[in-house]
Amino acid sequence: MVVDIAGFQVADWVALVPSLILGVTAMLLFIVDSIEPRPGTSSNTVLAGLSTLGALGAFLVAGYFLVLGVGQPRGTGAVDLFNGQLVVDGMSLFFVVIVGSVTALVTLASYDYLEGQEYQAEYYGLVIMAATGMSLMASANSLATIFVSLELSSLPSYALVAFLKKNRGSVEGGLKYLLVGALSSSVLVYGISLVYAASGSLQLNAVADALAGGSSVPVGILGVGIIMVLLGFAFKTASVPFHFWAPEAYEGAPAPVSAFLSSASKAAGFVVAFRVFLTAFPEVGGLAGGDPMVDWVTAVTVLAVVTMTVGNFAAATQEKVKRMLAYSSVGHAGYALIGLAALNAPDQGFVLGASMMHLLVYGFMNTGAFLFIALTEHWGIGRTFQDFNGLSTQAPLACAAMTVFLFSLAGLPIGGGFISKLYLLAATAQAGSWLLGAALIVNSALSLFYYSRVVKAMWIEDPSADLEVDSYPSSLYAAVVIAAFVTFALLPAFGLLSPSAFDAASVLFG
Amino acid sequence: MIPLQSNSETPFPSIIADLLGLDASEPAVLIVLSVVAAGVIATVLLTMTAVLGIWGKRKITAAFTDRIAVNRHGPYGLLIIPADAVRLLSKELIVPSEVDRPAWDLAPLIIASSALLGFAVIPFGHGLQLADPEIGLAYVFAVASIASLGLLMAGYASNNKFSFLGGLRAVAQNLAYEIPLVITGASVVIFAGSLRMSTIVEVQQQTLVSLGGIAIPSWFAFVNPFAFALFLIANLAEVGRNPFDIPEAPTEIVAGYQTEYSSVYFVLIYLGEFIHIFLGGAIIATIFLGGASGPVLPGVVWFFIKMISVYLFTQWARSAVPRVRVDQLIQIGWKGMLVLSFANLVLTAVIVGVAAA
Amino acid sequence: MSNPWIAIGALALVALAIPLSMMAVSSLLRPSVPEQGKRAVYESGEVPTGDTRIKFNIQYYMVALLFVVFDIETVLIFPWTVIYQDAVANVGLAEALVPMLAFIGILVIGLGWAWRNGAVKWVRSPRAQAQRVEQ
Repeated sequence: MVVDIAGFQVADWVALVPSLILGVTAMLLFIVDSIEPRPGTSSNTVLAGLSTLGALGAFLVAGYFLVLGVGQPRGTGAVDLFNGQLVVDGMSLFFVVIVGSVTALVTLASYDYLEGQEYQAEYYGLVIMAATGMSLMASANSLATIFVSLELSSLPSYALVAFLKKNRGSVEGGLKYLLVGALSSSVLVYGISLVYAASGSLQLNAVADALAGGSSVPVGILGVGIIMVLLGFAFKTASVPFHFWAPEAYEGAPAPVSAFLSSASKAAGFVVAFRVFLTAFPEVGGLAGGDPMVDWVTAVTVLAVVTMTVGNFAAATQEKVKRMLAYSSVGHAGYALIGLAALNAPDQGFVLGASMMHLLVYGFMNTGAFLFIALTEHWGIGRTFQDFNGLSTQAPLACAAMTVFLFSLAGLPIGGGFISKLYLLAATAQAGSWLLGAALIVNSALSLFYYSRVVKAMWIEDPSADLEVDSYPSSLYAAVVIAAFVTFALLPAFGLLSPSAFDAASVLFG
Repeated sequence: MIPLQSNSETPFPSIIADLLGLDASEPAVLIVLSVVAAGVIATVLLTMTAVLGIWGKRKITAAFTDRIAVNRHGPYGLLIIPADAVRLLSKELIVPSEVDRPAWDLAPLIIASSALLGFAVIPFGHGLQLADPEIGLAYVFAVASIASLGLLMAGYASNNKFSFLGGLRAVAQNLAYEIPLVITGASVVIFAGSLRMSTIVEVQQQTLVSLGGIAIPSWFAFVNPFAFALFLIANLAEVGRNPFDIPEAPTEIVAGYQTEYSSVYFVLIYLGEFIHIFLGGAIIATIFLGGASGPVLPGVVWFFIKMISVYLFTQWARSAVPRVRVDQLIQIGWKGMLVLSFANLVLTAVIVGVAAA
Repeated sequence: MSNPWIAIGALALVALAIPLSMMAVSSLLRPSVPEQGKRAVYESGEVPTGDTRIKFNIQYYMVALLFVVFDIETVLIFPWTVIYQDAVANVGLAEALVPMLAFIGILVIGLGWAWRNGAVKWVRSPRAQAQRVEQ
């Protein structure tokens, strides 16, 4: 099989190069750790540099492919690999861009965070391994590959959350994450088996074809299967009902890992959900017109509204900043679910594209917010809102960046989060789903309240006497500033990127 | 010459059906005939175990250590076999305090049954093969490894420290050597292109080279002696015989996982171990030594000769080779055998591939 | 074609029936003279001390984890070996062999890493280390 990329005739697997770069990087990390002079003496610089280069490489190649038109109608068209088990199209490349950029920021920030820690090579190896899984999730086009890549991203994540072996919170979060993950994985596998029973196929297009027949499909089995698959993805995206691991895991985990999980892992969960529901079950859900056989659109609508509300109300009651961010991340999963919930709109590509763009912006602003927490952990500042009092007197640049993140998360026009939320609102309006629209507005307004508590603490409150920032870790700072810059830049540059998202999305609706 | 293979998926039951003039495609008939055939094969194995396990083992060990061994009951002491059988079965069953009851009772059953079950796909020659499924080799590896479950259950349930250590060691050993065993088996499959036992035997009947008019068949032991050696060693570990008998290690942990077993339970474990050794021999005979083929004598006889040769090899190793320590065992397994077996697989694949391309 | 699994099932039946009947025969033959002393677990003739559920070497666990990885991988290698010769004939040596080499290569990197980090090196307990007599 040969595809044409930028005028070169190359083998079709070249389209998978972004994921391969990540995989090879993980292997290189293990090799570096194996050839070190004595066990446990690998250089942090080499490891962090290698990981960041690998993630950056995946990000750049995926972005370049996106520009070239690989996998898109104007270029090669969707590239089917391994008999349709994997597919490279606009959407998969778009999400590899998100995963790659988040991973690069996280590994860059980890350089300072891990200073003096044990098991550095393991840490970077696991991060890149998980990133490989996430980028494969973006390409997976069969329930089998989806499950394998989902586990590839989950298993390292469990270990990463529990990375601080001597910290009770970290271990507790890891264990909770593992147990909920095991439960939801089994739910997902069971759902996959039921879908397989109903359709006789695992490959998503074949599932869609088998279910298009209509009359002979066992609707009961299929319905239970689809709901269980949806619940399985709810775990990965930290949505209700499998959201309760998120606060503990994000709070206990090392802050860069929290950033990684809440941004990249969530995006990967969403891309899988998008692909499964839009490739395999569009007709079942009544998207192609006609009565839905299994009305999963309504189910997702309910999930979206509940997730937003639960996440934001819980966030508003928190006393610890990191935990507040964790719950707000649950709320944002609810916003992103609009992409599947508002599909009754006439322009379905716009709805899905809005959700994808929100995930992109969210990738930067949320990663940045968690990396700021990493910075405060590095300084040894406490976790509650009061502990942040007057931080701006010591670290104005970082606090300015954090302000950008928080206001952008809330949806104020200071970062890309404003436009992406606006688009989501427009999507709900198009679909005529006033419930979703109202939930989005009310929850965003509520979120402004608790985000501004942090801002108020940082800028307005007086610092306590013992607040002192003694070091300015360069790579952590760099990561925070880059994230802030991109978040801010996405406000004017939103229009540059959104067409590729809308194109990638509308392809799925044929 | 009688053909070695039969064309049926259930050769042995079909042969009985032909003899009796019954229709084997009828499920009910097939089930009855299968049970009969299974009974025949199980009886043959039990007889072999009785002769070689009770009487032969003592004679062989005695020969190694320059003793006489059993010679009072009947000619060559052969009547020790029924005597021992009755003696062991009529012993009191002593149940130690606080054993984990269902597991403790099930363990001997699992050890004995799993070993027998492996023989379902072994082609003894001339259609003396119970079943010939497409995945024969994978099946036989899978069934043979069930025994380690039984060993762990026996070790854990006995509430005895020696048993516990023995059970753990048994599992660690089986885990370490299972993979070299299976990977080496897979390198044979590259030649044969099938997991079906009858096909694997058939492929080995072609002539490899002719030396002075004597055609040497392409037994995989000749084609790939390296794999044969690896498999033989891994098999020793798999059946737990010297130098890899640390799960039992009489001088260290009494009798390992079987310390607390007596009476019929002991018989079952003992039986299971011996049948397991024969199963290992049968696998080696089938995939490396050309199965039931050889000059002059009928195939079945050759098959048993090969199988018993492997048994004799294990007995030789038992008497002649010192035991390894547990740390050495793990190192040999994971650092030596595993790497060598992968090297063997890759080399085989490259050579076969280059030759075929 | 008759189903081979019927015959295998028959052997399973027989393989269970023989041990069970031996147990039955034995239970008819053997005496039962229960006595407290017999029931004590064997500890070289001494009175048993402590609990049997002792702490054991973590290495058993590490080896089991490694095994899970490699066992799944053997399952994936088997189908490849079966079709290998046909694959070489149909799609050429490179396409049939190189993916498997990459697959095994990844495993070898993993094994090398585990080896280097001591996963397959038997750890001695501190107590055993202290009692060790240096040569």
